Amino acid sequence: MDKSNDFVKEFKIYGMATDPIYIGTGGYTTGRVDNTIVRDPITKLPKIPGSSLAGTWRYYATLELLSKIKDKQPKFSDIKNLNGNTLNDKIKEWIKQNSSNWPNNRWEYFNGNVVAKITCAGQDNTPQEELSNSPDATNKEGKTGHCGHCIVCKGFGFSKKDLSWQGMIFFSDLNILFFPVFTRFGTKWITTKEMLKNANLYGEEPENEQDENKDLVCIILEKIEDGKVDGHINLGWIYLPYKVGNLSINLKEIKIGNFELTEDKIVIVPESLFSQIVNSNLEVRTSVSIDPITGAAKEGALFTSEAIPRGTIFYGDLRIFDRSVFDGLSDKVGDLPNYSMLKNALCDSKHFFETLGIGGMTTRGFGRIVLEINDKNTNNCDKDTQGKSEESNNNPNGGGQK
Amino acid sequence: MKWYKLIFKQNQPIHIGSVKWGVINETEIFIPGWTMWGALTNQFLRTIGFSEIERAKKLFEHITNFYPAVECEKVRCSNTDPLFPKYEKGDFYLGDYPEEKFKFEFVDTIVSTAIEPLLRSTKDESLHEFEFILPKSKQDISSSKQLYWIGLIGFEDDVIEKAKDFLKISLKIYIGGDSKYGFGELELFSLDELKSEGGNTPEEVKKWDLDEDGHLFLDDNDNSLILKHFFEFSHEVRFEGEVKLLAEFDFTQNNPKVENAGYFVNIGSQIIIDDKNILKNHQLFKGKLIKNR
Repeated sequence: MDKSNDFVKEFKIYGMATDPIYIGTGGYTTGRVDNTIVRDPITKLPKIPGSSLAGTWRYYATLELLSKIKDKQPKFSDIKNLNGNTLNDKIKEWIKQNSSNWPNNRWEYFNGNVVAKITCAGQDNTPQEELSNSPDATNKEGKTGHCGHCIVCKGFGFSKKDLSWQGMIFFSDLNILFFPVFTRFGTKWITTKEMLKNANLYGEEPENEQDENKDLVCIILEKIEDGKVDGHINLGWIYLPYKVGNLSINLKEIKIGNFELTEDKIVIVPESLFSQIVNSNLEVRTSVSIDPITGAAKEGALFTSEAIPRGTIFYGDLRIFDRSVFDGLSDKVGDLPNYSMLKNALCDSKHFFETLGIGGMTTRGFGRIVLEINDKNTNNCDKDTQGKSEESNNNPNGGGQK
Repeated sequence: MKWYKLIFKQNQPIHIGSVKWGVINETEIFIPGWTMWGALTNQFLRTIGFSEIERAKKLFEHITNFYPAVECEKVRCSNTDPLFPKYEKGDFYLGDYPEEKFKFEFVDTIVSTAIEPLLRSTKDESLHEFEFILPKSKQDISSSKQLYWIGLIGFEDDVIEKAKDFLKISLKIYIGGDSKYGFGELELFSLDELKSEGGNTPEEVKKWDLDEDGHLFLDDNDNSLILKHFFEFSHEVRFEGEVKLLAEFDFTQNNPKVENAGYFVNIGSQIIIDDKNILKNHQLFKGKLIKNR
């Protein structure tokens, strides 16, 4: 299994909501809330589904890519008229003839990006086209679909008449790791031992875990009240006993943007109460539509929506497969990007999450989130340390399918 | 052939594509052998590279369907039996769970739409809902009802070493649909070699109605058999239950090509044993008992 480490890299993703985040369930109504958000069915904890993260990131990667290369891309007809048996060959021929226009080995100059389009984001409009026609083929409404050649299509996957490609990047859900709750000592971030363990932030087995769960005692890491080692704390409306515990948590890893979580801000709550506390401290807004004629509230248009509050810290993971694993799979797939290129594509495009956001109601002050990608050796998206060990071959398109 | 009992712990929800009703995609509540074969082969190739694809396809083909187990303690996990399928009064059961009860406790759905990238609105006609099996019971989170998946795999002698290098505790495989989006993770939790005693077929293999070579095993006294594997349909065999049309697809293109298809007697159905030789002439391939030709 050691060999597998050469082929797949696992990354951790941390995120902090800078706006409330609303990812709707699309029609279910529970309790007093009309517009409910996606929850884990077992724990009932709100989450950001992997498919939302992947879809949004695909779009942002396409935006970032096109913003960097849009003046350099040729017309598709120019490529079609070149010599070569396949579109891949023609793209290579074009790059050969225009090497000054397609300069270096960065991810945005991956070979196939020559034919990338904005419609490489989103769902494919032309799934029944042959791969070789796909960059300029259109559907009935005149829309193009996935080109099947660029780093976005290769990284996130595409499906054409003659080839389905699953993609090389695998996402997980983003689950809540620390959740902000207002207390009489100011805002504290709650979490549980189990969640810290799952995120590899806390490895030691607690000695008296059973008792704490039974007694419903919270653990804080530093004294917060007149030097006392125990007392009571309110987490929203729930009033719970706490005691000061001596636990070591690796918080250094969680540095999101300029925000650093410190030990005095953390409260570890019993597993059985976490979901209750989170769900009773979600952001709930009641809104009403306005009648444009009268300027007053519209009859029957009162609705309530809920969202994950700003300040919530999420955790998830990401697996990226290297192109070398796919050697010999199919000639049709063509060149593939390696994982340092895919990681750079994700790193360079994640800033859109800080402006355009994720989920619904992003035009109404919802959805912005700061994301960080960490791996074992290099912290975050630090380009200086990244790629050196991973990229021995200077040609970004050199691997691929021979 | 050497047999191993594999027990996977389910870490993420899984969706095993079954029937599609309009916008709703149902999930199966067991893992068919060919799905498990696909996931193992795929993961195996991802660890050694895809150049050995044709040889790797043969490696895991003597594999049973995988059935769930609700409880599996670490110490006695290897003795745990999964919930085997059966029919009672026309209803499909897994162990003592009727299909509806299992779904009520372990299956949930999500409604989702695609987004139009330019408009950032939902895409027309893209609404879909799909079912998935949860890793734990949703009825009672305080209980430790974690799902495990149990099945057997047989290896020919010449590939055992290769397979053992790959199948190690904590191996993660990704099964079923939407595995790119946080679905499908199973973790190998227990791996037991089923040793034969005195040249006889191991008891555990017999429990799955198989002999050492992966042929159907029948006890001398049996006059009927509840199927744990799909059984190739023929007019020579009497049964009570259902017939299913099973197709294996090549998913490398958008319109998947059918690689082979045929009618099979469904798992849980009852075979009436008339002629043992006809029945014993069937061998296990990817969860299906197929007649030797």
